[in-house]
Amino acid sequence: MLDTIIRAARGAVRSPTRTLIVVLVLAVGLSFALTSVALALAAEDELDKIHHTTGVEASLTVNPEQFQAAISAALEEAGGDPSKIDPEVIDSQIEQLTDEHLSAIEQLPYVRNVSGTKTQPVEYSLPGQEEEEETDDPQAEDQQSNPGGGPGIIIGGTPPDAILTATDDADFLTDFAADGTKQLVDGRLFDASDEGKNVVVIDQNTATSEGLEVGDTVTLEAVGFGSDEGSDAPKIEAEIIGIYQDLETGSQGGFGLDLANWYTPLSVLRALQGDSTDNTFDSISVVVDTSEELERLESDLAAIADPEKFTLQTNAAELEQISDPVETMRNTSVVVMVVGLAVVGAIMVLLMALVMRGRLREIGILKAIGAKSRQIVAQFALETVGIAFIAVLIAVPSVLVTNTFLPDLLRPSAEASAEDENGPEFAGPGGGGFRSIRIGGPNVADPVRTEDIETSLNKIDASLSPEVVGAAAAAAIALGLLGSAVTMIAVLRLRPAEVLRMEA
Amino acid sequence: MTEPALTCSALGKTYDTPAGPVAALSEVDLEIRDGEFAAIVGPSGSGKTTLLSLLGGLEKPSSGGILVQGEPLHRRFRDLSDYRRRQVGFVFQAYNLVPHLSAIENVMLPMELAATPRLRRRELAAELLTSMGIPKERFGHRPLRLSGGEQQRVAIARALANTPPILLADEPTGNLDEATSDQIIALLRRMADTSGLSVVLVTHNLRIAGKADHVVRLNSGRVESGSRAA
Repeated sequence: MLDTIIRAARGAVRSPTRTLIVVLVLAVGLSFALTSVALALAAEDELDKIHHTTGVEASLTVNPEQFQAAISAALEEAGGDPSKIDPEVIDSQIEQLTDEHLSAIEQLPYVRNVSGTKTQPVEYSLPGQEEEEETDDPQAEDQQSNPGGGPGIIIGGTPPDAILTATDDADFLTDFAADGTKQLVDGRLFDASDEGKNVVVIDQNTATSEGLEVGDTVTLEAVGFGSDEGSDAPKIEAEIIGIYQDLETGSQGGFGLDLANWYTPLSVLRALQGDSTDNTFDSISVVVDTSEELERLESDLAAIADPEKFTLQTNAAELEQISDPVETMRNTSVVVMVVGLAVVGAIMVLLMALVMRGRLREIGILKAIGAKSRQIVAQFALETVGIAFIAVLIAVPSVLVTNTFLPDLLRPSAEASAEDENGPEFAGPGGGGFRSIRIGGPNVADPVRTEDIETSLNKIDASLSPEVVGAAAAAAIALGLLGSAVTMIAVLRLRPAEVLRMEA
Repeated sequence: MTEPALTCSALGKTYDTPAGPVAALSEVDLEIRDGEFAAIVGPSGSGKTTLLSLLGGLEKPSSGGILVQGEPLHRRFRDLSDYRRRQVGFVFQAYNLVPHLSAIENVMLPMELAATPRLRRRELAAELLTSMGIPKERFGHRPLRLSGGEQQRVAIARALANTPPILLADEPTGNLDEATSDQIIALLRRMADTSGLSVVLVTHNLRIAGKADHVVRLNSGRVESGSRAA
């Protein structure tokens, strides 16, 4: 074996120029292929992470068409006068999400967590503060009832002071997540230890304008649609346990309405609505194990909650929006790799054919002096492997060069892939021809931002792993052997006398 | 009585050409004895080189057979490469040294292929080159830096590297001047006389053929004289 290696090494250096050309061609092609392979693997890895994103959230809400139909019916009953709409008529027309739905969803084996949410417009008063007198001047009403400023949107009557969102699991308040739009500046969110207590988390604007702090109390009163009285509704004194800052500027939803969002346990809101036994929800939030479970969830929920009456929102489309450009990048990288290797392979076949042609006489001599075919094959194969190995040694650091431009060439535009930043409208009540107030519920269908896609794409770079280098070495060797194999097979079939005659 | 070193029996070789099959050799019967210095002569195209190629295992016969020490070649050796490695040494008119190897490396090459112990190779190769009259300072020279005569001596040394009992030489002096040719022939003669080596020489030079013990005359692929067939 050592003799064969030595003969192979001598053969490789006998024509240094020819050997160098073969090495450089192979190295350049390999560096492109290596970069592409590394990018394809990184993209595949990122895709895997996206597809296996855990803790994926979905939200089940009442289908807006239910509200449309209910409001139409109530408006008709009110003789076309929106100010006379009876909320009870609306409520009676709508099939709500209930505890039964929540329990059924909880039973699904892949559901990690589920929680119901309700929302309610409320008014608040401070201890010792007289109730504001209501006036007929809509502008005055706006100023009185909207401490946050901005024009009010009214469905007959006074706009509320805040929208109260209630849930039993504050973890479902995604706005307060690490990358959310709200950040606690004082106090905390409610948890299991607050069960049975009347607590509330309020916004910083209100806290500042009213001089409120954690530990203070506010009196809450529910406000109904179309009702400007609310005086029959119970009043609940709730302790402020947390104050948050809204990190987003501008409207929080609806058509330019600047309402504060407050948060409280479900029991508080149900008490405010005067029915502690109420088991309905405005929305049910579901967290599943992985993004791959979303399709399964959609199918299972169709049996639990009639799709005609309830709407499921998931971020499957958004995940796909993020994964599509990554998949494009992976596929493009694979194509570049295959084309690159094919081109290098073709060049190698031609080059090695030329090299072998130049070594015909040597092969003939070796055969004439008694070399076995396998000895000749081993010598030239080792020579090829040696050349390929040197090419890999050159190609690996060359990736540092190709990595400066190839990933950018292969990376699709994140902007082109992102949706319109306004995104899909949230399916709240009163959709369609009605101006509506966003009444909360976790918005799992936030539009995909360009930055989200860029983040995923920018994670993909051509960092070389031992596996990739090993694959490159294998590819180089295979290409080299392929290049020499065709000629070698033809040459070995020749008798020594023929070969020497050819070269004479 | 010992068997002949080589015996050809109805040996024939036909080549397929675009113009049709061409019989380069037909019905050749021949005997080469141990330690014999034999010459094969004939005009151009008589089949001399073809006969030598068949004897050297560089070609396969189309008909007939070759006996080595009375035994069929295919029975005595695994394959032709085995035969070429152990039984015969071949010297070519064009020397056919490996151009990127030095003189001594060329001589060591057959030893590598025959798995001669590495430590012995250089020593044996040096002995052979010295016996061929190559000075030590030229052992490391590549063929391009050697004269024609020196190259042929190196080629002879390479042919003898594995101590074969038979040396075949195809026009070994064809590219050499007369004086050098005589030196080469004298060398071959001495090898046959002193070491029992059977030497078969192809030549078109009758003067050189005259120095042989046994002359086989070929014409149009057939033996005219000297076959010694039983």
